[in-house]
Amino acid sequence: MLFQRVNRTDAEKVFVIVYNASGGAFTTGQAMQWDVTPTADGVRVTTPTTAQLSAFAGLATAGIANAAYGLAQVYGFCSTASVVNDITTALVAGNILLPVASSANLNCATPVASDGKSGFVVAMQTNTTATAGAIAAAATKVFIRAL
Amino acid sequence: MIFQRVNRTDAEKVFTVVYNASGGAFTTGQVLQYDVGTSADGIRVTTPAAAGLSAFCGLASAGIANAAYGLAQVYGYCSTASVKPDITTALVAGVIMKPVDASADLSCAASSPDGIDASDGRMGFIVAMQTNTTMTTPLASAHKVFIRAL
Repeated sequence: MLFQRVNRTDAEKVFVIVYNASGGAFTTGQAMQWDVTPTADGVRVTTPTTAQLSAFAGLATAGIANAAYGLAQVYGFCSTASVVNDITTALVAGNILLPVASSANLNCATPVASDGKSGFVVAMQTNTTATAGAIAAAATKVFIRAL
Repeated sequence: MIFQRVNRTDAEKVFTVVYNASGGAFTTGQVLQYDVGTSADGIRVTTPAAAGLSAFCGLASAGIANAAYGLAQVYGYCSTASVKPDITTALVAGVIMKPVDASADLSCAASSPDGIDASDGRMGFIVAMQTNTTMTTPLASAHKVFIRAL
């Protein structure tokens, strides 16, 4: 586990080492879920799936090829979370962003209001709605609390 | 991030550095929320606001003047959480204490989205570790809590 050295002006961050067992590549800021199959070892991560969304691991700090090791950010400010905008729902700062089944991106379609007691990933910025055909993932500011 | 040195008799605690961007001062044990405005940088904290209650940061470990840096406790036992009793609801040990909109003190009132919630065994940034009684004219005072916001 990597803890950023104490520094007054940089946000505190914590990272863990993970092994990409998803069968595909992760890009910067994408959501990773702990592998909960019989091969689970606390290092293997994969793409989020419905039944295991609470096994959220963290966000990729950089691209991680399939069958390669990389770093997941598990705590702190992240300005590069991969968030997909929505046609009808704009992102509100403070909303809880949930992992999405079968997608490594977070999205704005299913916002959850801040409740003051939960949330692995919280939005730290707004975004606007997209027009049909223009939905895309973009780097977004979030706070991760998955340690 | 500061981790207290392992010590058999002291509770484990973790602290982070924060910058007070609230426009006012925080006193010991008050609630800090990460700034989720356009200046958000993961260091700036402010007074809790309804839409950002899940951006809870931690409790001030000591007073932090406006526009100054200080430490927020983000994990572990804290005996100095700033909690304001309620007129009608006494505090029950074990309940979840949520940040309160527009206040840096925790509240014992059972309200939504802020105030207290029953323990559910799966969430809670702050859990009460003591009881208190109702108070006709509520004043914040130091209370024991457990913080799990790391």
